[in-house]
Amino acid sequence: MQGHVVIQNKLGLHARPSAQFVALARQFACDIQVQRLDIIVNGKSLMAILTLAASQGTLLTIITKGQHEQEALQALCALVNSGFGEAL
Amino acid sequence: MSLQGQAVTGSGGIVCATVQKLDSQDQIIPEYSIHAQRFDAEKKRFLNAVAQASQSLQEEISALQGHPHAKGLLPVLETHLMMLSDPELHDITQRFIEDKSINVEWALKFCLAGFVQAFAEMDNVYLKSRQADIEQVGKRLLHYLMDQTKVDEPVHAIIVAQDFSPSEIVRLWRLGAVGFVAAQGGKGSHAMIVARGVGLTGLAGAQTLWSAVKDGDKLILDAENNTWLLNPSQEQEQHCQDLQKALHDKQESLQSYATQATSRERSDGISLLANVEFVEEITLANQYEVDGIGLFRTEFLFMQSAALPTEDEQYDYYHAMVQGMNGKPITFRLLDVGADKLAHARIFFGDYDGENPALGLRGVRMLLHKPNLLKTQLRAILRCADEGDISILVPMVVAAEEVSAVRQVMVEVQQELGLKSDITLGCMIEVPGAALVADDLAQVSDFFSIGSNDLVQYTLAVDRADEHVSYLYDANHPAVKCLIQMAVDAAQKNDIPVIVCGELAASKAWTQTFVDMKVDALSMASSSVLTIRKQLSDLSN
Repeated sequence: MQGHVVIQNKLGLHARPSAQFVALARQFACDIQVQRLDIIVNGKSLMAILTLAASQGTLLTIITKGQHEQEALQALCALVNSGFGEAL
Repeated sequence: MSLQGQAVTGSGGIVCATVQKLDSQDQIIPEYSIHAQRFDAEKKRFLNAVAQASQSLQEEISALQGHPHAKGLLPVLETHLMMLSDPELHDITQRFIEDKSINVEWALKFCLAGFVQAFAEMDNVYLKSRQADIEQVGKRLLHYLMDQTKVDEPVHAIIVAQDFSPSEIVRLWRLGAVGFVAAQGGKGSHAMIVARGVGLTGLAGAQTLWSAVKDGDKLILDAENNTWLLNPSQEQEQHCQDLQKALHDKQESLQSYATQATSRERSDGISLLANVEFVEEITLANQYEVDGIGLFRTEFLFMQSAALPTEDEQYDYYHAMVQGMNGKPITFRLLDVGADKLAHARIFFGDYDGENPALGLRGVRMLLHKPNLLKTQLRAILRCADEGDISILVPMVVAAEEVSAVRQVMVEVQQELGLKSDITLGCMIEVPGAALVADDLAQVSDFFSIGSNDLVQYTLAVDRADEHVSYLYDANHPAVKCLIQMAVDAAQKNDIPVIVCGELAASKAWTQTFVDMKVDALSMASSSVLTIRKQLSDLSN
């Protein structure tokens, strides 16, 4: 499954939001990938997510595959859309 | 983009490898190939290090929780903790161990370099700064990995640092490092002298490189021409290989001069001796069948100790050298703490703080100022007298009285130890004043040893380690040759042998001059012995 999100918060996908994303992703058993343009990284890897350098307004695709893939996709999209509880 | 530059001095050789850049607190990261049967063990080491690093981070986090000032720090530490369990970090590092057949530290370095590279390409300054987190996590892991081993493991890199001590150079050489670059240092820097002695390729005085180079860059060192080339193109690397091959061929052709037989055929009668400081250096000296050790610098043991080494500690150090030389003559130069080594000199000087150390209490001046130091060293050396052919050399002499004062103590020690045979006592000619009164000095000395490095330095008033004036350090200045000639004349008039032991001894351009002067021996870094033996042979034909 896959869904598209746009980074909302001002500072982009920096350390704290990335960590939140990864912490949530790791709660699911399914494979989770995040794509920006032609780069696809492991959604459970903080280091890899950080290398995406996703600033405010960046379009990302979240790809989930396996057990509870739908719940995972929904939860992760909701987190990104909420702006990680930061200033938008 | 490639970048090239010039260093002040080099120790010979041409190499190409990746760089490990060391800040003062950094450790050298071991790099070596492993066999397939060790893959699992290396992966286990990785997991152990992750577990240890995670535990220590957990403890730090617990300790900080609830602390009012820890608010900003806690999220950072939690981020680091999350990175330690990062699946990509684990997968890539473990895959590199297998794919590249390398040790875990090296694999981890490759893995981290990949992440860091991605950050380097970012425009967003705020996100870019997260690179520091990855580097800190990497350091923490390396700390635990290297803590596990504790032993010295090999390294296949060029080590770049601000400065190296002589013992660090020996350690790099033992670890098999490809080469080294010291940002600081000028001609005749102590580390360079040792590097030439063991045959490790390196450059000193390369500040421009220091600011440009980063960990993992590819670097070519040409220590024959004292140049470096950072991030070479493929073409440039090919050119480097051609140069390496040419140098290799040249060294091969010198190999036929690796035996003493070539000296016996000559009519000049000049002995070739080695300058050494560490026992490790005599391997090369013996391989090239030198006629003996012309200059054993005894400072090292003193430099690395927090307290003055005892007579027995000194004896062990000297004895190892005597045994290694198997009866060939060894000239021990008594302790001379040069101005460039003063940082370590508190143990001798106590509160003495010379305004101008190069002109202060060094060499024989200090030995006579601290008679116990002199006597202890003489006892330690002379205890080896029965097992080898040893002589003693007095440094920094300016007056005949200084040589006589040392001889008096030496005779006392000889009697205490019950030595029958007399030990020969020589005088260094390394100050212009000594050359000018060489006739007086020759009457109280059994031989002369001309220390060209200090002689040039004092004659021209140039600190050879100071990169701002090192361009003035010119051994070809006519004043230098004039003083050497005076010393040689005085020695020959008084019928005592004369050795040349500074860098001039290893200079092909001076060989003919020394043959004409009829000096008795040339003493040099072992790495120069073959070149000079060939030069002598060429000249006699």
